[in-house]
Order: sequence, then structure tokens, then C-alpha cells
Amino acid sequence: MAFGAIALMASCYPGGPSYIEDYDITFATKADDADFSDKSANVFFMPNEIFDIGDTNQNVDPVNPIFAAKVLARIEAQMAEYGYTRVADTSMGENYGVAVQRLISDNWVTYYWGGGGYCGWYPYWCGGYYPPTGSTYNYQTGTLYVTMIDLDNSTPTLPFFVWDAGINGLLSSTQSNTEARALNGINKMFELSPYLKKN
Amino acid sequence: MKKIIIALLVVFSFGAQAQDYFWSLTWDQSLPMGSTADKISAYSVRGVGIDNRWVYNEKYSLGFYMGWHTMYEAKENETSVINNNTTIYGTQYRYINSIPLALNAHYYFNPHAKVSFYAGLGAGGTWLNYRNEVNLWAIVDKGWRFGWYPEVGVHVPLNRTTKLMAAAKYQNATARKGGDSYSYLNFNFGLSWGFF
Repeated sequence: MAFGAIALMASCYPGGPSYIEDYDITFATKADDADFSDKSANVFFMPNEIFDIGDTNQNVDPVNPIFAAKVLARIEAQMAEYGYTRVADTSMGENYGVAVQRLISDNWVTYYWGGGGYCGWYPYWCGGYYPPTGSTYNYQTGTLYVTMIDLDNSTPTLPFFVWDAGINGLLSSTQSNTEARALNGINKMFELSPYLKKN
Repeated sequence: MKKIIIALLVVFSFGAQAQDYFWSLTWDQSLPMGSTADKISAYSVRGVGIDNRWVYNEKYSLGFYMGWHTMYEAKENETSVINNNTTIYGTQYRYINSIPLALNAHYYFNPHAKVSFYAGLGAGGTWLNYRNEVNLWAIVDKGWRFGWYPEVGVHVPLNRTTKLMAAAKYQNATARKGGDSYSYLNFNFGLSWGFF
């Protein structure tokens, strides 16, 4: 019994995420040969919408226009803070194109447990007493991508992607929670990319 | 490894006349050291160990040790740079599960004293799983490694067959292909039972 108590205390994965925000990550990637040193090249164009790049067969709600407006405004504000100016249309001397995309993914998980005890993650440790039981569940993850193209160094057939950033996490059932996390993520992706600065 | 096995056999053959046996159950606590502390620095009280020893001529013993040591730390809001150009920000949940299985040899300095001290060495295989979870992904470094440890300890007799035991081991698990080496100080507290 004492050994059992100690063994339980030694459990494989103590602790871990408690809230869905704990799963959030923000990432930012600069292309190897991207060069942001020309301070005068600071004009960008950004379409006034968030593009959905998920599977069209998925049962996913369209992007909420209020959410989209807030996201685009936050990106524009962050770009302005780094010395960029947004133009309203193409062919207005823009040096960069910025696109915002949303990807929602379905993730199906099947897991098993058997034999009782703690070792649900490792059925082969606990199995053998009686057949394991299984269950399947789904969770949705969302990713918001911000992509920047260097138009001065692109060709009509070969865009030069110089910066990719995004925030990824589990989708929340409340719009306000998703929105707050997305906006915080946008702040963070610029904070992770000081090389973008034009001022 | 060969030399260690030969040394163990030599000790075994010299001490084969008078043989006693005892086993110990210990509560093992771990303090990550070196580069392991860069991954997880938190002291862990999650661990258990079983030690079996056959004693020869009162001064020497051969045996084996099995342990299960778990270490954990959440690194909140951690920024990691990958390949110079990619930066990832998020909370990382880091876990180490270490299961050392080792043959060991010990020397007892004052076996009949009220407080008896010993020192020893263990070597064998350590199955170690380092898991760094961020978002829905995990970076995993797991597998068998060569493991070894020096050890010092103390016994305090409670009665004819039971002793209190405390020991410190410096657990080492060597690097494997594509993985890191790991080390941690391991403090063992428990009881020993047997005739010795």
C-alpha cells in the first residue's frame, strides 16, 4: 500500500495546462534573405478582410466582421508603430503587401484506458485485467496568420514572402475570449519581430 | 562498462563466504543539475526507489537498484528562437520521467556502528523521457541510455532487521543519438529490511 501511494505520487505527468489560453502560442518567422534596412520602403497595402484558408467542407462559421475589423485595425496600428503607412488601394506606391488569414482545424483524438489506475495514457502498462475502453473526441484549433510580401523584390509569378507570423490556440466558446487572445497575439508577434522596424 | 562488470565479479568472488541480504524502499527526491537544470530547475519530491543488496564479509555488497523519478516545471511565457529566424512564444510544460535500472556495489565503513556509513557505485541502463509540451505539440527526447551514479549513504538501526536509510546519488544518463545527457542529484529516504 505504501509503495502504491509513493508510485502514485511519482505520476508521469504532474501539472499541466489549466486554461485554454495556456495552449496559445505566438510565432514569427523572417525569411533568410529578407532585408528591412531600407527605411524609406515603408508603405504597405492590406486587404480589408481576413481570408479563410480552411477546408471549405468544414462546418465553420464565417469570420465575424466585427472581429475582422478589430484584428485589421490592431495590425495597422502595430505597423504604424513600426513606421509603416497603410495605403487604401493597390498601385499607390506600396512596398509591401500584408495578408491576414484564418485557418480552423478539426482534431480528432481516440484514446483508450484499461485496467484502472492512473495510467490512462499508457494502456499497455495497465491493461490485461479487462479489455480497454475507448473514446473519441474532437477539438478545434484556430490559427491567425499575418503574411508580408516584399513587392519591390517580387515578380508577378513569384511573390517574395519576407515575414510570417501567427497565433495558434484552442478555440473558445466565447467570442470575447477568442478576440482578446487574438489581439494580444498580434501585439506579441510584432514584439517578437523588432527587425521589421522602419523608424 | 566491461571494466565495471569485471570489478563487480571480482568483489563478488572474494566475498562469497558470508552472505546477508537486505532490501530498501525509498522516497526519492531529485534536484536537476547541469544542463538538465536549464530544462527543469525545480526540486522534485516525486520519486520512488527499490534497492536489493547481498552483503559479503559485512563490508561489501552487490545488488541492483530500480527507481522512478519524475521532474516537472512550467515555464510561463517562454520565448524560444529556432534557426535564428523563427521565434516562438508561449507557455512550456516540461517533464522528465527517469527510470534507472542499475547493478551496484557498496562498501560499508563501520557496519556495526549505531550510525553506519557506506559509499558505492551503480551502473546500468536508464530509460529517460524528456517532454517539452508547448501548444498542442511536444518536443520529446526519450529512450534508453547508459546510466551510472556514485552514492553515499547512512544506515541507522531501528531493530534487528530494520534500519532507517538515507542516501544521495548523483544520477547520470549519457547522451544518445539526437538527444542530450541528463544529470540530477537524487536524495533517498526510506527503510531497509533484512539480516545484515
